[in-house]
Amino acid sequence: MARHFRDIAKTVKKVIDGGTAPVRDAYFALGHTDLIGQLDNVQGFIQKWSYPNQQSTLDAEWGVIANARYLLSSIGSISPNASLLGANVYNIFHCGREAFCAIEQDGYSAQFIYRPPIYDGPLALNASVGYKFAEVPRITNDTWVFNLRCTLSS
Amino acid sequence: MGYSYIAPVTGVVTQASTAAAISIPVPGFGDIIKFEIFDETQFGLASADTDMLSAWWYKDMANGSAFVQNRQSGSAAASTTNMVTTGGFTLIDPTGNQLQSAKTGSGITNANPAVVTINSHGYSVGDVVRLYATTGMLQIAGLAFTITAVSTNTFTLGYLDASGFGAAATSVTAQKFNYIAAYYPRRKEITKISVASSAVITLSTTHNFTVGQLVRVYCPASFGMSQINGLLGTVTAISTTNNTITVNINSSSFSSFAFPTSAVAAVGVQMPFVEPVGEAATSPYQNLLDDATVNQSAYIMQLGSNVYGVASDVIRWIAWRGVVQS
Repeated sequence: MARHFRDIAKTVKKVIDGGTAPVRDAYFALGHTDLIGQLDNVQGFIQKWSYPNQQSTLDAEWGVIANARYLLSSIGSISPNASLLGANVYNIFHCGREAFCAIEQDGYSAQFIYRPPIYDGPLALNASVGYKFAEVPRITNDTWVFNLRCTLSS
Repeated sequence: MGYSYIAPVTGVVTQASTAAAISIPVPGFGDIIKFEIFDETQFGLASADTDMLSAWWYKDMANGSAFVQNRQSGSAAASTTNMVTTGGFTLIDPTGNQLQSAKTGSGITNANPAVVTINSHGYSVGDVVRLYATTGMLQIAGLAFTITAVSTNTFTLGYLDASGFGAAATSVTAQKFNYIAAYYPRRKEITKISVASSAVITLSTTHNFTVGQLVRVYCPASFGMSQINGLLGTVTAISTTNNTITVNINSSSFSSFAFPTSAVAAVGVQMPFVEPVGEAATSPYQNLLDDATVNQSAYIMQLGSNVYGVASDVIRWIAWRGVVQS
Protein backbone atom coordinates (compact mmCIF):
# COMPACT_ATOMS: atom_id res chain seq x y z
CA MET A 1 0.00 0.00 0.00
CA ALA A 2 1.36 3.42 -0.93
CA ARG A 3 2.40 5.53 2.03
CA HIS A 4 0.60 8.77 1.25
CA PHE A 5 -0.66 9.26 4.78
CA ARG A 6 0.43 8.50 8.32
CA ASP A 7 0.17 5.10 9.94
CA ILE A 8 -2.07 4.56 12.93
CA ALA A 9 -0.66 1.45 14.56
CA LYS A 10 2.97 1.24 15.55
CA THR A 11 5.41 -1.57 14.98
CA VAL A 12 5.07 -4.70 17.09
CA LYS A 13 8.64 -5.87 17.52
CA LYS A 14 9.82 -9.38 16.99
CA VAL A 15 10.46 -11.44 20.09
CA ILE A 16 12.28 -14.71 20.47
CA ASP A 17 9.25 -16.90 20.50
CA GLY A 18 8.38 -19.62 18.07
CA GLY A 19 5.42 -19.00 15.76
CA THR A 20 5.25 -15.22 16.00
CA ALA A 21 6.05 -12.56 13.43
CA PRO A 22 6.83 -8.86 13.78
CA VAL A 23 4.25 -6.37 12.53
CA ARG A 24 5.27 -3.11 10.90
CA ASP A 25 3.64 0.30 11.29
CA ALA A 26 0.22 -0.02 9.77
CA TYR A 27 -3.00 1.61 8.68
CA PHE A 28 -6.34 0.38 9.86
CA ALA A 29 -8.50 -1.45 7.34
CA LEU A 30 -12.17 -1.58 8.33
CA GLY A 31 -14.14 -4.46 6.84
CA HIS A 32 -16.91 -6.97 7.31
CA THR A 33 -16.60 -10.25 9.20
CA ASP A 34 -17.64 -12.13 6.03
CA LEU A 35 -14.06 -11.50 4.91
CA ILE A 36 -12.56 -13.69 7.62
CA GLY A 37 -12.30 -16.79 5.45
CA GLN A 38 -10.78 -14.81 2.62
CA LEU A 39 -8.21 -13.07 4.79
CA ASP A 40 -7.12 -16.32 6.38
CA ASN A 41 -6.16 -17.60 2.95
CA VAL A 42 -4.24 -14.55 1.77
CA GLN A 43 -0.55 -15.28 1.35
CA GLY A 44 1.42 -13.37 3.96
CA PHE A 45 -1.54 -12.82 6.28
CA ILE A 46 -0.50 -12.81 9.93
CA GLN A 47 -3.17 -13.75 12.43
CA LYS A 48 -3.61 -11.48 15.42
CA TRP A 49 -2.61 -14.31 17.72
CA SER A 50 0.72 -14.55 15.93
CA TYR A 51 1.73 -11.01 16.84
CA PRO A 52 4.74 -10.93 19.18
CA ASN A 53 2.52 -9.38 21.85
CA GLN A 54 -1.16 -8.57 22.27
CA GLN A 55 -0.81 -5.33 24.15
CA SER A 56 -1.45 -3.03 21.21
CA THR A 57 -4.16 -5.06 19.49
CA LEU A 58 -7.81 -4.15 19.37
CA ASP A 59 -10.81 -6.34 20.09
CA ALA A 60 -12.02 -6.10 16.50
CA GLU A 61 -8.62 -6.88 15.02
CA TRP A 62 -8.26 -10.01 12.92
CA GLY A 63 -4.72 -9.77 11.57
CA VAL A 64 -2.37 -7.91 9.29
CA ILE A 65 -1.37 -7.98 5.64
CA ALA A 66 1.74 -5.91 4.91
CA ASN A 67 0.95 -2.49 6.39
CA ALA A 68 -2.81 -2.89 6.84
CA ARG A 69 -4.23 -4.21 10.08
CA TYR A 70 -7.76 -5.52 9.55
CA LEU A 71 -10.53 -4.60 11.96
CA LEU A 72 -13.69 -6.55 11.21
CA SER A 73 -17.28 -6.05 12.25
CA SER A 74 -20.59 -7.69 11.43
CA ILE A 75 -21.83 -4.22 10.47
CA GLY A 76 -18.96 -3.63 8.04
CA SER A 77 -19.87 -2.08 4.73
CA ILE A 78 -21.40 -4.16 1.95
CA SER A 79 -22.76 -2.93 -1.37
CA PRO A 80 -25.36 -5.63 -1.96
CA ASN A 81 -25.28 -7.42 -5.32
CA ALA A 82 -23.10 -4.69 -6.81
CA SER A 83 -20.76 -6.79 -8.94
CA LEU A 84 -21.22 -7.50 -12.64
CA LEU A 85 -22.79 -10.83 -11.79
CA GLY A 86 -24.68 -9.60 -8.77
CA ALA A 87 -22.38 -10.71 -5.97
CA ASN A 88 -22.02 -8.64 -2.82
CA VAL A 89 -19.18 -6.13 -2.99
CA TYR A 90 -17.33 -5.59 0.28
CA ASN A 91 -15.97 -2.14 1.03
CA ILE A 92 -12.75 -2.16 3.04
CA PHE A 93 -11.86 1.34 4.18
CA HIS A 94 -8.16 1.91 4.72
CA CYS A 95 -7.59 4.87 6.98
CA GLY A 96 -4.55 6.90 7.90
CA ARG A 97 -4.01 8.82 11.09
CA GLU A 98 -6.39 11.78 11.50
CA ALA A 99 -8.20 10.97 8.27
CA PHE A 100 -11.47 11.40 10.14
CA CYS A 101 -12.51 12.69 13.52
CA ALA A 102 -15.45 13.40 15.75
CA ILE A 103 -16.11 17.08 16.32
CA GLU A 104 -17.82 18.12 19.52
CA GLN A 105 -20.02 21.16 19.16
CA ASP A 106 -19.48 24.19 21.32
CA GLY A 107 -22.22 25.48 23.54
CA TYR A 108 -24.18 22.28 23.76
CA SER A 109 -23.77 19.99 26.71
CA ALA A 110 -24.78 16.39 26.85
CA GLN A 111 -28.21 15.82 28.33
CA PHE A 112 -29.47 12.84 30.22
CA ILE A 113 -33.21 12.53 29.85
CA TYR A 114 -35.57 10.57 32.07
CA ARG A 115 -39.33 10.55 31.73
CA PRO A 116 -40.98 8.89 34.72
CA PRO A 117 -43.54 6.17 34.01
CA ILE A 118 -46.32 8.09 35.71
CA TYR A 119 -46.64 10.21 32.55
CA ASP A 120 -47.50 7.11 30.56
CA GLY A 121 -50.81 6.55 32.28
CA PRO A 122 -52.36 5.55 35.58
CA LEU A 123 -50.72 2.14 35.44
CA ALA A 124 -47.26 3.70 35.01
CA LEU A 125 -46.14 1.02 32.60
CA ASN A 126 -43.52 2.76 30.49
CA ALA A 127 -40.61 4.98 31.38
CA SER A 128 -38.21 6.59 28.92
CA VAL A 129 -34.49 6.97 29.43
CA GLY A 130 -32.05 8.44 26.95
CA TYR A 131 -29.36 10.94 26.28
CA LYS A 132 -28.46 13.38 23.58
CA PHE A 133 -25.32 15.23 22.73
CA ALA A 134 -23.90 17.21 19.83
CA GLU A 135 -21.03 15.44 18.16
CA VAL A 136 -20.39 15.13 14.47
CA PRO A 137 -18.17 12.58 12.71
CA ARG A 138 -16.38 14.11 9.78
CA ILE A 139 -13.76 13.18 7.20
CA THR A 140 -10.86 15.55 7.66
CA ASN A 141 -8.86 14.47 4.62
CA ASP A 142 -10.49 12.24 2.06
CA THR A 143 -7.18 11.39 0.40
CA TRP A 144 -6.13 9.61 3.57
CA VAL A 145 -8.97 7.13 3.21
CA PHE A 146 -9.35 4.73 0.36
CA ASN A 147 -11.82 2.01 -0.35
CA LEU A 148 -10.67 -1.44 -1.42
CA ARG A 149 -13.67 -3.17 -2.99
CA CYS A 150 -13.80 -6.93 -3.41
CA THR A 151 -16.10 -9.89 -3.69
CA LEU A 152 -15.73 -13.25 -1.99
CA SER A 153 -14.05 -16.01 -3.92
CA SER A 154 -16.12 -19.14 -4.31
CA MET B 1 -53.70 -7.38 22.10
CA GLY B 2 -53.57 -3.90 23.52
CA TYR B 3 -51.65 -0.83 22.51
CA SER B 4 -50.02 1.81 24.62
CA TYR B 5 -49.34 5.03 22.76
CA ILE B 6 -46.34 6.96 24.00
CA ALA B 7 -45.27 9.58 21.53
CA PRO B 8 -46.91 10.56 18.25
CA VAL B 9 -44.75 12.04 15.52
CA THR B 10 -46.30 14.00 12.68
CA GLY B 11 -45.36 15.66 9.42
CA VAL B 12 -46.59 16.63 5.98
CA VAL B 13 -45.62 15.33 2.54
CA THR B 14 -46.75 16.51 -0.87
CA GLN B 15 -47.53 14.11 -3.65
CA ALA B 16 -45.59 14.70 -6.89
CA SER B 17 -47.16 16.12 -10.05
CA THR B 18 -47.36 12.52 -11.26
CA ALA B 19 -48.67 10.46 -8.37
CA ALA B 20 -46.19 7.82 -7.26
CA ALA B 21 -45.23 5.84 -4.17
CA ILE B 22 -44.15 8.04 -1.26
CA SER B 23 -41.48 7.09 1.27
CA ILE B 24 -41.70 8.78 4.65
CA PRO B 25 -38.74 8.46 7.04
CA VAL B 26 -40.17 7.96 10.51
CA PRO B 27 -38.06 8.80 13.54
CA GLY B 28 -37.68 6.13 16.14
CA PHE B 29 -36.60 2.56 16.34
CA GLY B 30 -39.39 0.69 14.68
CA ASP B 31 -41.66 1.03 17.68
CA ILE B 32 -44.47 2.29 15.45
CA ILE B 33 -47.74 0.72 16.46
CA LYS B 34 -50.11 2.79 14.34
CA PHE B 35 -49.58 4.92 11.26
CA GLU B 36 -52.28 7.11 9.82
CA ILE B 37 -52.56 9.72 7.09
CA PHE B 38 -55.05 12.44 6.21
CA ASP B 39 -55.27 13.91 2.73
CA GLU B 40 -55.56 17.62 3.51
CA THR B 41 -56.24 18.47 -0.13
CA GLN B 42 -59.20 16.12 -0.49
CA PHE B 43 -60.92 16.76 2.82
CA GLY B 44 -64.09 18.78 2.32
CA LEU B 45 -64.09 18.55 -1.47
CA ALA B 46 -67.36 17.49 -3.10
CA SER B 47 -65.80 15.67 -6.00
CA ALA B 48 -67.18 12.89 -8.16
CA ASP B 49 -63.92 11.02 -7.61
CA THR B 50 -63.77 8.53 -4.78
CA ASP B 51 -60.35 9.74 -3.69
CA MET B 52 -58.72 8.68 -0.46
CA LEU B 53 -59.45 10.92 2.51
CA SER B 54 -57.57 9.05 5.19
CA ALA B 55 -55.97 5.68 5.86
CA TRP B 56 -54.35 3.86 8.75
CA TRP B 57 -52.34 0.76 9.58
CA TYR B 58 -51.53 -1.17 12.75
CA LYS B 59 -48.28 -2.90 13.55
CA ASP B 60 -49.73 -6.39 13.49
CA MET B 61 -51.19 -5.91 9.99
CA ALA B 62 -49.34 -7.26 6.98
CA ASN B 63 -47.19 -4.95 4.92
CA GLY B 64 -49.12 -3.59 1.97
CA SER B 65 -52.44 -3.58 3.79
CA ALA B 66 -54.43 -0.63 5.13
CA PHE B 67 -57.81 0.61 6.22
CA VAL B 68 -58.77 3.24 3.67
CA GLN B 69 -61.47 5.86 3.92
CA ASN B 70 -62.64 7.04 0.50
CA ARG B 71 -65.01 9.84 -0.44
CA GLN B 72 -68.47 8.85 -1.58
CA SER B 73 -68.84 10.13 -5.11
CA GLY B 74 -70.15 13.68 -5.18
CA SER B 75 -70.24 14.12 -1.42
CA ALA B 76 -68.16 16.51 0.67
CA ALA B 77 -69.02 14.73 3.88
CA ALA B 78 -69.90 11.05 3.31
CA SER B 79 -67.28 8.39 2.95
CA THR B 80 -66.78 4.64 2.88
CA THR B 81 -64.11 2.62 4.63
CA ASN B 82 -62.49 -0.43 3.11
CA MET B 83 -59.61 -2.66 3.91
CA VAL B 84 -57.00 -3.30 1.23
CA THR B 85 -54.31 -5.94 1.27
CA THR B 86 -52.12 -4.46 -1.45
CA GLY B 87 -51.07 -0.92 -2.25
CA GLY B 88 -51.36 0.14 1.38
CA PHE B 89 -48.62 0.80 3.93
CA THR B 90 -45.25 -0.95 3.96
CA LEU B 91 -42.87 -0.41 6.88
CA ILE B 92 -39.24 -0.79 5.80
CA ASP B 93 -36.63 -1.73 8.38
CA PRO B 94 -33.26 -0.03 7.72
CA THR B 95 -31.50 -2.92 9.43
CA GLY B 96 -33.16 -5.44 7.15
CA ASN B 97 -32.50 -6.40 3.56
CA GLN B 98 -31.50 -3.43 1.48
CA LEU B 99 -32.71 -5.01 -1.74
CA GLN B 100 -36.02 -6.52 -2.68
CA SER B 101 -36.31 -9.81 -4.53
CA ALA B 102 -34.78 -10.12 -8.00
CA LYS B 103 -36.74 -9.76 -11.21
CA THR B 104 -35.43 -10.94 -14.55
CA GLY B 105 -36.06 -9.12 -17.79
CA SER B 106 -35.41 -9.44 -21.47
CA GLY B 107 -33.14 -6.51 -22.15
CA ILE B 108 -31.96 -2.91 -22.03
CA THR B 109 -32.01 -0.70 -25.11
CA ASN B 110 -28.84 1.05 -26.26
CA ALA B 111 -30.69 4.33 -26.63
CA ASN B 112 -30.96 7.72 -24.99
CA PRO B 113 -32.44 7.21 -22.49
CA ALA B 114 -31.99 3.50 -21.95
CA VAL B 115 -35.18 1.49 -21.41
CA VAL B 116 -35.33 -1.78 -19.46
CA THR B 117 -37.91 -4.45 -20.22
CA ILE B 118 -39.12 -6.58 -17.32
CA ASN B 119 -42.67 -7.84 -17.57
CA SER B 120 -44.96 -6.68 -14.75
CA HIS B 121 -42.04 -5.14 -12.83
CA GLY B 122 -44.27 -3.12 -10.52
CA TYR B 123 -41.74 -0.34 -10.04
CA SER B 124 -42.59 3.35 -9.79
CA VAL B 125 -40.97 6.60 -10.87
CA GLY B 126 -38.30 7.52 -8.35
CA ASP B 127 -37.51 3.94 -7.36
CA VAL B 128 -33.84 3.00 -7.37
CA VAL B 129 -32.91 -0.37 -8.86
CA ARG B 130 -29.65 -2.21 -9.18
CA LEU B 131 -29.09 -3.90 -12.55
CA TYR B 132 -26.72 -6.82 -12.94
CA ALA B 133 -26.16 -10.16 -14.67
CA THR B 134 -26.78 -8.55 -18.01
CA THR B 135 -26.12 -10.35 -21.26
CA GLY B 136 -24.13 -7.68 -23.06
CA MET B 137 -23.96 -4.07 -21.89
CA LEU B 138 -21.64 -5.02 -19.06
CA GLN B 139 -20.60 -1.37 -18.83
CA ILE B 140 -23.48 -0.78 -16.46
CA ALA B 141 -23.79 -4.19 -14.80
CA GLY B 142 -23.74 -3.76 -11.04
CA LEU B 143 -24.82 -0.11 -11.12
CA ALA B 144 -27.88 1.42 -9.50
CA PHE B 145 -30.23 3.74 -11.38
CA THR B 146 -33.18 5.93 -10.56
CA ILE B 147 -36.27 5.14 -12.63
CA THR B 148 -37.64 8.20 -14.45
CA ALA B 149 -40.63 6.74 -16.32
CA VAL B 150 -42.58 3.49 -16.27
CA SER B 151 -45.03 1.43 -18.26
CA THR B 152 -46.39 -1.94 -17.25
CA ASN B 153 -43.50 -3.90 -18.73
CA THR B 154 -40.75 -1.30 -19.11
CA PHE B 155 -39.01 1.40 -17.13
CA THR B 156 -36.73 4.21 -18.24
CA LEU B 157 -33.26 5.05 -16.98
CA GLY B 158 -33.49 8.76 -17.70
CA TYR B 159 -29.98 9.50 -16.49
CA LEU B 160 -28.25 6.99 -18.78
CA ASP B 161 -27.45 7.80 -22.39
CA ALA B 162 -26.67 4.34 -23.78
CA SER B 163 -26.80 5.40 -27.43
CA GLY B 164 -23.05 4.99 -27.74
CA PHE B 165 -23.08 1.41 -26.54
CA GLY B 166 -22.26 -1.21 -29.15
CA ALA B 167 -25.31 -3.37 -28.58
CA ALA B 168 -28.36 -3.70 -26.40
CA ALA B 169 -28.48 -6.07 -23.46
CA THR B 170 -30.60 -9.13 -24.07
CA SER B 171 -31.24 -10.05 -20.46
CA VAL B 172 -31.00 -8.31 -17.12
CA THR B 173 -31.71 -8.86 -13.46
CA ALA B 174 -33.05 -6.00 -11.34
CA GLN B 175 -33.53 -5.49 -7.63
CA LYS B 176 -35.21 -2.49 -6.10
CA PHE B 177 -33.64 -0.77 -3.12
CA ASN B 178 -35.76 -0.64 0.01
CA TYR B 179 -33.56 2.20 1.17
CA ILE B 180 -30.42 3.71 -0.26
CA ALA B 181 -27.91 4.16 2.51
CA ALA B 182 -27.65 5.10 6.12
CA TYR B 183 -25.12 7.86 5.74
CA TYR B 184 -25.13 11.27 4.11
CA PRO B 185 -23.32 12.60 2.14
CA ARG B 186 -22.77 9.75 -0.23
CA ARG B 187 -20.77 9.00 -3.32
CA LYS B 188 -22.67 8.75 -6.58
CA GLU B 189 -21.76 6.92 -9.77
CA ILE B 190 -21.29 8.96 -12.94
CA THR B 191 -22.94 8.28 -16.30
CA LYS B 192 -21.69 11.37 -18.16
CA ILE B 193 -19.30 14.31 -17.86
CA SER B 194 -19.47 17.19 -20.31
CA VAL B 195 -16.48 18.83 -21.93
CA ALA B 196 -17.01 22.42 -20.84
CA SER B 197 -15.50 25.31 -18.92
CA SER B 198 -17.61 24.16 -15.98
CA ALA B 199 -18.06 20.41 -16.23
CA VAL B 200 -21.59 19.08 -15.91
CA ILE B 201 -21.72 15.65 -14.33
CA THR B 202 -24.71 13.34 -14.69
CA LEU B 203 -25.26 10.83 -11.90
CA SER B 204 -27.02 7.48 -12.13
CA THR B 205 -29.17 7.85 -9.02
CA THR B 206 -30.92 10.86 -7.59
CA HIS B 207 -28.33 13.00 -5.86
CA ASN B 208 -28.73 15.24 -2.86
CA PHE B 209 -25.74 17.49 -3.42
CA THR B 210 -26.12 21.18 -2.73
CA VAL B 211 -24.45 24.23 -4.21
CA GLY B 212 -21.25 24.98 -2.33
CA GLN B 213 -20.29 21.41 -1.53
CA LEU B 214 -16.78 20.29 -2.29
CA VAL B 215 -16.51 17.02 -4.19
CA ARG B 216 -13.75 14.92 -5.66
CA VAL B 217 -14.22 13.30 -9.06
CA TYR B 218 -12.86 9.84 -9.78
CA CYS B 219 -12.76 8.76 -13.42
CA PRO B 220 -10.63 5.76 -14.40
CA ALA B 221 -8.80 5.84 -17.72
CA SER B 222 -11.18 3.25 -19.16
CA PHE B 223 -13.88 5.94 -19.16
CA GLY B 224 -11.89 8.37 -21.28
CA MET B 225 -11.70 11.58 -19.31
CA SER B 226 -8.81 10.48 -17.13
CA GLN B 227 -7.60 14.10 -16.74
CA ILE B 228 -10.42 14.79 -14.33
CA ASN B 229 -9.53 11.85 -12.11
CA GLY B 230 -8.82 12.96 -8.55
CA LEU B 231 -9.67 16.63 -9.09
CA LEU B 232 -11.54 18.64 -6.49
CA GLY B 233 -14.45 20.80 -7.52
CA THR B 234 -17.07 22.94 -5.86
CA VAL B 235 -20.66 22.37 -6.87
CA THR B 236 -21.83 25.60 -8.51
CA ALA B 237 -25.23 24.47 -9.75
CA ILE B 238 -27.50 21.45 -9.64
CA SER B 239 -30.34 20.18 -11.78
CA THR B 240 -32.92 17.92 -10.26
CA THR B 241 -34.53 17.47 -13.69
CA ASN B 242 -31.41 16.12 -15.35
CA ASN B 243 -29.88 14.83 -12.10
CA THR B 244 -26.66 16.74 -12.72
CA ILE B 245 -24.20 18.80 -10.78
CA THR B 246 -22.07 21.53 -12.29
CA VAL B 247 -18.59 21.85 -10.82
CA ASN B 248 -15.94 24.54 -11.23
CA ILE B 249 -13.60 22.20 -13.09
CA ASN B 250 -12.64 23.27 -16.60
CA SER B 251 -12.80 20.13 -18.72
CA SER B 252 -12.57 21.96 -22.05
CA SER B 253 -9.24 20.43 -22.92
CA PHE B 254 -9.99 17.00 -21.49
CA SER B 255 -10.69 13.83 -23.45
CA SER B 256 -14.35 13.01 -23.86
CA PHE B 257 -16.10 10.85 -21.29
CA ALA B 258 -17.16 7.52 -22.76
CA PHE B 259 -18.14 4.17 -21.33
CA PRO B 260 -15.75 1.32 -22.15
CA THR B 261 -16.99 -1.45 -24.40
CA SER B 262 -18.86 -4.36 -22.91
CA ALA B 263 -15.86 -6.59 -23.61
CA VAL B 264 -13.53 -4.30 -21.66
CA ALA B 265 -16.01 -4.10 -18.79
CA ALA B 266 -16.23 -7.90 -18.71
CA VAL B 267 -12.65 -8.02 -17.51
CA GLY B 268 -13.54 -5.67 -14.67
CA VAL B 269 -13.44 -1.89 -14.44
CA GLN B 270 -13.71 0.60 -11.63
CA MET B 271 -16.77 2.81 -12.10
CA PRO B 272 -16.39 6.61 -12.12
CA PHE B 273 -17.94 8.40 -9.19
CA VAL B 274 -18.25 11.69 -7.35
CA GLU B 275 -17.56 11.77 -3.67
CA PRO B 276 -18.26 14.55 -1.19
CA VAL B 277 -15.03 15.11 0.66
CA GLY B 278 -16.18 16.16 4.06
CA GLU B 279 -15.84 19.90 3.90
CA ALA B 280 -17.69 22.75 2.32
CA ALA B 281 -15.66 25.21 0.32
CA THR B 282 -17.78 28.29 0.03
CA SER B 283 -20.27 30.40 1.87
CA PRO B 284 -22.96 29.84 3.10
CA TYR B 285 -21.83 26.33 3.95
CA GLN B 286 -18.33 27.10 5.08
CA ASN B 287 -17.79 26.14 8.67
CA LEU B 288 -21.22 24.62 8.86
CA LEU B 289 -21.81 20.92 9.12
CA ASP B 290 -23.42 20.49 5.74
CA ASP B 291 -20.89 17.87 4.76
CA ALA B 292 -20.65 16.14 8.07
CA THR B 293 -21.14 12.41 7.99
CA VAL B 294 -24.67 11.97 9.20
CA ASN B 295 -26.37 8.72 9.95
CA GLN B 296 -29.75 9.16 8.29
CA SER B 297 -31.03 5.68 8.74
CA ALA B 298 -34.65 5.61 9.67
CA TYR B 299 -37.62 3.36 9.47
CA ILE B 300 -39.47 4.21 6.30
CA MET B 301 -43.20 4.01 5.76
CA GLN B 302 -43.99 3.56 2.09
CA LEU B 303 -47.37 4.67 0.84
CA GLY B 304 -48.65 2.47 -1.98
CA SER B 305 -51.10 3.17 -4.75
CA ASN B 306 -54.23 2.87 -2.60
CA VAL B 307 -53.08 5.42 -0.04
CA TYR B 308 -50.73 7.86 -1.74
CA GLY B 309 -53.45 10.24 -2.92
CA VAL B 310 -53.57 11.97 -6.28
CA ALA B 311 -51.17 14.42 -7.92
CA SER B 312 -50.03 17.34 -5.76
CA ASP B 313 -52.10 16.29 -2.75
CA VAL B 314 -50.86 17.45 0.63
CA ILE B 315 -50.87 14.53 3.03
CA ARG B 316 -50.45 14.76 6.79
CA TRP B 317 -49.04 11.70 8.49
CA ILE B 318 -49.00 10.67 12.12
CA ALA B 319 -46.86 7.84 13.46
CA TRP B 320 -47.93 6.58 16.85
CA ARG B 321 -45.01 5.08 18.73
CA GLY B 322 -45.21 2.89 21.76
CA VAL B 323 -45.43 -0.69 22.88
CA VAL B 324 -47.82 -3.50 22.15
CA GLN B 325 -49.24 -5.16 25.23
CA SER B 326 -50.35 -8.68 24.54
